[in-house]
Amino acid sequence: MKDPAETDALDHRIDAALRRRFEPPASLDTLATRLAPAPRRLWPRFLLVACAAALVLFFVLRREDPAPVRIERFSPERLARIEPFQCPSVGPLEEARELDPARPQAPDLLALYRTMDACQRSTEAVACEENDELVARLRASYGPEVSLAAGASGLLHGPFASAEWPTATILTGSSEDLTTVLVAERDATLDCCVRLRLAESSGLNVFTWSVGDLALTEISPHDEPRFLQLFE
Amino acid sequence: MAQSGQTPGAGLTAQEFSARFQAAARVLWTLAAGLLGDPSEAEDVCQEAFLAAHEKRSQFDPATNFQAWMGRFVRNVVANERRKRARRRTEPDDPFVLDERREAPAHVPERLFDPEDFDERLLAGLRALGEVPRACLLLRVLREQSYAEIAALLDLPEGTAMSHVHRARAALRAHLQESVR
Repeated sequence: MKDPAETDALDHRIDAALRRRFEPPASLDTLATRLAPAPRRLWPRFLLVACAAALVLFFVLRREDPAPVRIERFSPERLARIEPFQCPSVGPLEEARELDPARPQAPDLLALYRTMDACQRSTEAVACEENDELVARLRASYGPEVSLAAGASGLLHGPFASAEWPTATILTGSSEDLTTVLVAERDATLDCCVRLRLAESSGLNVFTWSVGDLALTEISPHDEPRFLQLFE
Repeated sequence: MAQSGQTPGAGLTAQEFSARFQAAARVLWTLAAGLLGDPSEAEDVCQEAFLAAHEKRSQFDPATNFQAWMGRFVRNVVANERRKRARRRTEPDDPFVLDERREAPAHVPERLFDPEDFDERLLAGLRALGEVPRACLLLRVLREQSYAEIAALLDLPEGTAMSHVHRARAALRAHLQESVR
């Protein structure tokens, strides 16, 4: 093949065939992420950050005349009716203040539940025993309108933070050997900035209720909320 | 000449290492595929090279060429793999290649225009190349690496890298023409 044009044409065919036959797999683009040894430190780090950054949702101060607790099965229509306009307040985390109020969050409740279920079942789950500190933080975040039943701190674990729901405070409990996840959030924030969603096939139920300025969400495999009685 | 600006023991953090590795991953994969002559095992080589280099990331001087540094790990992994293969090998050559040689037609020039057949003949020609020329060619064609970059990856003089690319291409052309003659 002496003709330069023929040689060029053959070179182009060679190059094209090489590109076709030596295409790197898509999995190569995430190789470093998959191989990085960071996951070994994930849980301790998560717990450290969570316990340092998260606030708590219980009040120890009992009211003379406790506010009535509203209980309702979560109604997607309720939140669908409310258009986000602004976030008058956000949750306890510093990072949450940087969230764009024009972009409502849609936390993946199933992912959140699975993560917290794993945490609840691990040996690293820590009991919520620092009542004094928790009370102070709760007062600062949610107001002094909710109190916690005696012994609740022995039934619940946390507080935790989760990237799935960065403006909220999260606790876990166990009932009939099944994990329940409790999420505390400002009622106003929940209304205007958070869209709750749960896959129908998840096998979980979502219950919401509020006490004072506090909105509580329970994600549970049970057909009724199990930790409601702890909030008074 | 001593390397200037080097901070002894500076190394890379795990995150810095991962970021640099990911940026170089396609080049390293191509280097592995070229040395092996087989893309199917290149990702495994990259994984092993990642793990080995990650352990030694504190020894890397951030002022130097990370891709070239990683190239050494890839070459070492490939060399180890070749030693393992040599111990396992029971056939003188890949049976598929031998069959293909036997089946090569005496005179069917039209076969060059059959894309599938062209690719198979090209791959056979590629396997017949030495591993270093093959890697040089693939890095040049697939990743558009400069001759200096290829030379650094394979620890060669730049002129040698250039020579390998041109000779490998010429050998492939000759193989394709020969195979249809």
